[in-house]
Amino acid sequence: MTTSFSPGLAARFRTLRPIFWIALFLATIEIGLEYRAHLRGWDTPLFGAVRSEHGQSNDLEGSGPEFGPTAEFPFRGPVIKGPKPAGAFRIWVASASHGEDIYLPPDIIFPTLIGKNLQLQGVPAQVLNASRAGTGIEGDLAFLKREFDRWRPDVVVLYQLSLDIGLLSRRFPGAIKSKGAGPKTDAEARTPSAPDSKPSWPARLFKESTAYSLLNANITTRLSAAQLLSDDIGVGATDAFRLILVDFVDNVRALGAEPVLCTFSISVSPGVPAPIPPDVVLFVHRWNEQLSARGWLAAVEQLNGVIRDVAGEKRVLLVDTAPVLTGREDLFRDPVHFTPEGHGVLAGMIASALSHKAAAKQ
Amino acid sequence: MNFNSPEFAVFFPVVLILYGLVFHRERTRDLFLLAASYFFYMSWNWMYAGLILLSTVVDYGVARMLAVEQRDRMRKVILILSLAANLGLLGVFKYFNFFVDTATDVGSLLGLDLAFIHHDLLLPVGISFYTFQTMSYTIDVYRRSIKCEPDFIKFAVFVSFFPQLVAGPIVRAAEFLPQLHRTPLVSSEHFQSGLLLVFRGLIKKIVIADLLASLGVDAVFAAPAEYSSLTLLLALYGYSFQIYNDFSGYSDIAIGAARMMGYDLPMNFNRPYLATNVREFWSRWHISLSTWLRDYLYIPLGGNRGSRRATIRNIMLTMLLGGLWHGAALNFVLWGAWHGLLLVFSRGQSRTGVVGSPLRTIGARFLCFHLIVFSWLLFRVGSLDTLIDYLRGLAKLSGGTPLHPAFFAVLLLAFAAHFTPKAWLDAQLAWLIKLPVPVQAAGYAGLILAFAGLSLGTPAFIYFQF
Repeated sequence: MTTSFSPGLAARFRTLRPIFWIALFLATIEIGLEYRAHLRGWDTPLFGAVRSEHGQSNDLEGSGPEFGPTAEFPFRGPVIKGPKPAGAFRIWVASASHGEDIYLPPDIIFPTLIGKNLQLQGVPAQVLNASRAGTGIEGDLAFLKREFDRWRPDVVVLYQLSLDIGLLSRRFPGAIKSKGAGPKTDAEARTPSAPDSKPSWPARLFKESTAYSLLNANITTRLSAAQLLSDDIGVGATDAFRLILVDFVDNVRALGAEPVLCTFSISVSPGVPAPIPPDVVLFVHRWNEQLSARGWLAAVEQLNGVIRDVAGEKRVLLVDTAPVLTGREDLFRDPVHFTPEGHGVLAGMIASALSHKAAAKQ
Repeated sequence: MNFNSPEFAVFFPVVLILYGLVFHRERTRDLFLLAASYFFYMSWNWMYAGLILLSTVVDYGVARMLAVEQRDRMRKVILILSLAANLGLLGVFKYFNFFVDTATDVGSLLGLDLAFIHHDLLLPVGISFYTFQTMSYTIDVYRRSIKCEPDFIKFAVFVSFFPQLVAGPIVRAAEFLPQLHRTPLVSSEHFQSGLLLVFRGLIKKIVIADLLASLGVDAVFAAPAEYSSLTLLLALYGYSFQIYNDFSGYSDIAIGAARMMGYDLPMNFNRPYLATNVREFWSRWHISLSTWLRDYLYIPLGGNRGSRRATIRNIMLTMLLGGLWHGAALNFVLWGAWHGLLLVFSRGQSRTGVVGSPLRTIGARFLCFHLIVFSWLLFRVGSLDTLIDYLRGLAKLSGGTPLHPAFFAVLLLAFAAHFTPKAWLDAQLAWLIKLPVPVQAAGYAGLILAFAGLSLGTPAFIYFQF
């Protein structure tokens, strides 16, 4: 039967049936996928944050209620109560998902293990694991500034890079071949879809949906890898990274703590002969749409060089993890996240470097 | 708010539902369409609304004056004032810095520093489209080929109607204003065929145009010196299909969205790469602009009524200004000049595409396609250096390509979609509309998910900047 807008309200809305049906199908698919994700223990917009309800994944084996984050203690690690005791050596760990690692119990991730290691050496160490997935160095600094007066750390350990590579390569598209000058880029710069603009609520809702996450992981990532991407992050991005790092060091010192820099380790050696393993390529493109997999590996090496330079120039304690850990596939469960053993080795290196600082403080 | 953005996916259904509630009350419908259109336009930058309102007020007022003024001389003065206001707006926002930069270069030769005059004005989205639309209205009223619109709200809807506001088609008042005076009738078939057009446009944009750009075209055009001749040629073919699918995709969405609300917009593309000569190409490509240029520029200049030399001058002038309409840059001028030359040489050739035997037709299409493809090189390059690099690279005749098989797959899809017989394609689309609504909707829901997966960001439509 032909319906039209004209006869009456009911008929008018019958005309709109395709829209309602599309919305119904999409809602059903999203709810189904969210429920499936919820059953698997993932956070979903509709069913909420499974992990955070119980203090992130503290319900995992090997952890207990004494671990944060809690409302009072916004760090993923052993809860510290009361004011800072005299003589305590407080370590603020600034990292991203590498340090937060919600897929492992909090007592076996490297920030917690740094504390344990130092305590075994007799150092009254207290760790504030400020690592948060999706946060880069600038985000780490903002968090530190917000919380510093409350927690008064003695040292701030920075273990960050992969996320900043993604952020920088988006901020400096001029260095990236596929995002070169042209009408499209010009038009993009004039629309709210320009990369730096704040996303609207429909865009956020869309990107937070489980369907989008799955499609992004399974299709978009593969398409990203099919692009002609740059093998070089570019001078602009490298210089900007240096400035971010210097700013971090200066600000930490201005607050009254001592910064500690770490080079960044990955499971694959940048000099790995072609072809790069497909799982690495897919992982790299999941978080980066600008650099080729080889370019991303090269950027890690290049920016590790910047970390070493800044540490030298600013006389900052450097924990050079890369020469020891990079390429050790047994220590990583994916290109940037550690296995429990990897967490242990990294924690050992950082604790060993910090023990001198702690001794100096004593 | 791009048509391919999540924002539009929320905005448009909400507009449709509210429109369903108000459409039968004429005044409410007009006000609602106006509000929705301004909301849509202000989503880019709220300050743009002032410009479009100014353009609306000026042309509404001028047309009213033209309607009552009987003295020819005075009418001409009024028209000139209107054109000056419209072209002034366009000049300030689109061409000011082009002319200032040129003057600065000349000034520096004379030892004068004029760089301080440069202003970083933001180009309002779609200004060329709605300015041409209001200008054609005023000229039509001046020519007495249409009556002036007495209702300001209806006129404002005509200027700002959101589906075609940003990148056309450039709608003539004679086509659209009468539609605003009658209650739009939207049958379910009408609505569903509009929806199908919207999705066809989204496929063209997201699956073909954006993927061609992401998988190769952008990278190759950014650094042509780094690639082989084969890659450069493939990227050029890629861009030819990218720009067609990007722009015609936008037009499909605009026409489809308008149809879903009961309005008909003119066809803007008719498979342009099937043209056998450049005259025919221009009767198939951006039809609303080419007919605008013909009716309001080429014919008033004298068209082909004068001497051969005058006709050539009129063609060249029209195409150069057509090139400049896209933007104040040397590459657009070159693009216009190239098309002008091609049109001069194709004078007397058929616009219908019939050139004789099938083999000759295929040959003519092949030649015409490649002449147009070359014009896209002029259109796309950002600088003369890039153009030279590109041409040098093509001349090397080197092989090998780093382009991913996915690029070839999309290029093949673009090619097949363009050259598939229209009758067959139309039959398939008609069959799709006859499917039960839930089946259609399931297909569309699947397409939305595919768009989400295939989308590497939400790049703006190329023609938004014009």
